[in-house]
Amino acid sequence: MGEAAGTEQAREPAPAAGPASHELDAILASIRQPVYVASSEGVITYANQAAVDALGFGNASELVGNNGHWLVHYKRPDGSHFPIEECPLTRCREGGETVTVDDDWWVRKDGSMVPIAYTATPITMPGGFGTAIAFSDISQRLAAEQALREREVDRARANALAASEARHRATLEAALDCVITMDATGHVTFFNSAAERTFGHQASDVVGRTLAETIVPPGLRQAHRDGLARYLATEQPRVLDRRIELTAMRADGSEFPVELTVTRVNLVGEIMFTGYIRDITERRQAQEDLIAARRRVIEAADAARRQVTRDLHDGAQQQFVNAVINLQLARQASSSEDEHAASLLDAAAKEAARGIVSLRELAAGIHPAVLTDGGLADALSSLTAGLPFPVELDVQVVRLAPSIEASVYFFCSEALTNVAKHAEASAARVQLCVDGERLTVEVSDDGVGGAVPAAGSTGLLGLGDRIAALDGTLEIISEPALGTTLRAEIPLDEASALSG
Amino acid sequence: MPALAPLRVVVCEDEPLIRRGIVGVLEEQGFEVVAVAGDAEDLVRKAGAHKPDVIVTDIRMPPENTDDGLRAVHRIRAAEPGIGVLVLSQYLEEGYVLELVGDRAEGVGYLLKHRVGDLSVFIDAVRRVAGGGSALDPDVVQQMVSRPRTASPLDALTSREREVLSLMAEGRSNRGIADALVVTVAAIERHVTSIMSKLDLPPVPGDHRRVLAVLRYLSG
Repeated sequence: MGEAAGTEQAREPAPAAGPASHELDAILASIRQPVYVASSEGVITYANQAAVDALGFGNASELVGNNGHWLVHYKRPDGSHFPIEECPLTRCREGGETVTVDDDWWVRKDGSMVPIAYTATPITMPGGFGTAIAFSDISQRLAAEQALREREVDRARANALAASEARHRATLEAALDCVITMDATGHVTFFNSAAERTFGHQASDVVGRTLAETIVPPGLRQAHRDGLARYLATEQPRVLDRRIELTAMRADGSEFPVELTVTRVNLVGEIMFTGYIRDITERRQAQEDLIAARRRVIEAADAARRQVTRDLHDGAQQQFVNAVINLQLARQASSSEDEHAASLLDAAAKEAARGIVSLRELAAGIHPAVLTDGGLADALSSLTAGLPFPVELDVQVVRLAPSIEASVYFFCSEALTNVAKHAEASAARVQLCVDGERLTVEVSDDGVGGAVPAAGSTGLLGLGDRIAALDGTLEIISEPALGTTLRAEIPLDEASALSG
Repeated sequence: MPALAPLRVVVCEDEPLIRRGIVGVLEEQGFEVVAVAGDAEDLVRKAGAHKPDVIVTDIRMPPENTDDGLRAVHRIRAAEPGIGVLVLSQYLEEGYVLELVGDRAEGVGYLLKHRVGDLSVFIDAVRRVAGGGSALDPDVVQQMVSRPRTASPLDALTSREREVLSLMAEGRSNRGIADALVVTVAAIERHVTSIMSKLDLPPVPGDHRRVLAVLRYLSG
């Protein structure tokens, strides 16, 4: 229906209403729609019970006789004054318009504001238009609308979050490294496909179970649990945010080396850990192959040196010895008759004897036979006998594998050569001892110190290579004026410690 | 020369040419070479069978071509203490000497192999060892005596005393030392007393006991 028609209808029954009939009064009183009526001056002349209740009054008499605007419409929700000239009801009262407002705020008796929707209908009265105002408290509707809006916002947020998480998961899922997340109770919450491939588990089988029972080898489980508990109790990280190497377990129970980085993820109200795991079996194997290859190269070189030495002793040196003996026999045979021949033979024998000495020294430098026969103690004793400074020997090992003996011998030889060349030492010390499964070799001197490993000594570099090939470590301690100590530590397995 | 029975020798050397040379030198000098051996087992067997006055043997020989000769010698000395042993070695290594002598310097010698060509040294060594004395190579002894040491009583020896000490270590008697240095035996006896006192070594009877004491001192 058009507004003009509404206005027309409203105008029609109004004069008949006059003072409300008992019947009409009863109808108005009974309906739940709050209604009040005001005069052309805006003074309330009638209010039904629903209106009284909606505005928080005790009874209609508190309303009737008061100016409606000044009673319930005098301020805005922000507390500011609401001038009557701006009130839409004025249009109804003065212009005879039907006015509908959906989002107004009225004042209740206690001063609190209540959201209201109303329709004001003009009533023709002597001297102007009165108004009949039907209104509703719309707080519930507003609350419902607000709740709806909030639900929609929440849903949108949730969708965005889900999308973000889906992207995140897709990224982790696609990662080449294994990505596993675990909550503070040690239960797996995410297991990407690289992890599935590496560990041979389905994510669905693992998620919800503890990490300890799925990928941690039995021998490490207690340490894993203790570590997690300790971290949760102290917040002092030991494994977080750094790369560590340890052993993990596949679904079939087989164990393999991994590199692990664990980070803590801060989600609201809960602690989560993300582990990035890489299978380093191949890398480890490559490292071991490299060490083994280096060791083979050095062992082959040592074997070749031994062979050269043996050939010198058994070949050239024997032949020289033979020559010396035969020259002596010839000297005896030639006897006194030919002095010239005798002196030539003597000279030849002396020359051959010098050749023997040279060969012997050469052979000893290449690979001393005494090392093969007598081991490190004898070989080092012989080595140090020829040095220009005293060397204290403390050799607490008997026999070791040939490759280790050779490396230790050449290590000491090179170190002592360095002492002789650079240290200006008055004495040196060589100490060898076996502590458990570890051989420690220490060559120290009382010289000037300050040896710099990078000083281009290929000898020192070669020493490092030899020791590294045995999976050992080399340390150089060389404070100026405090002498130099070279310390090599070499792991021994059962095969390398023949005795002692 | 009184007509003494010639000294009986077993020679062990795996290299035929050298073996023939050693045998030739010995026979030329009036020794009786009763057997030759080519490896360690052969030596042990022939030493046991012939019970010679002295064995002249190489170190490196079959079966293992390492220090088989030394090991054979230990077995022979343990079984037949009366047999003198002269080891001919390619190695100027005091380690072998100390191992060879062990705790008994009686009837034992260690010479570098080419000394075979130095007749006086070689023959003198064979005779000393056959007679229960000691004969250590001058070069090996020289190495032991001249090894650098920190604050050693050896520093207090005069150069003549160091010469005498070296000759004592080689296994020579006072008479032998006196002859080598062309001085009187009495002069050598004074040197020896002074050396033993400076090194704080008790006087010991017998040249080979003296060798052992000096060796231990030098290697300690």
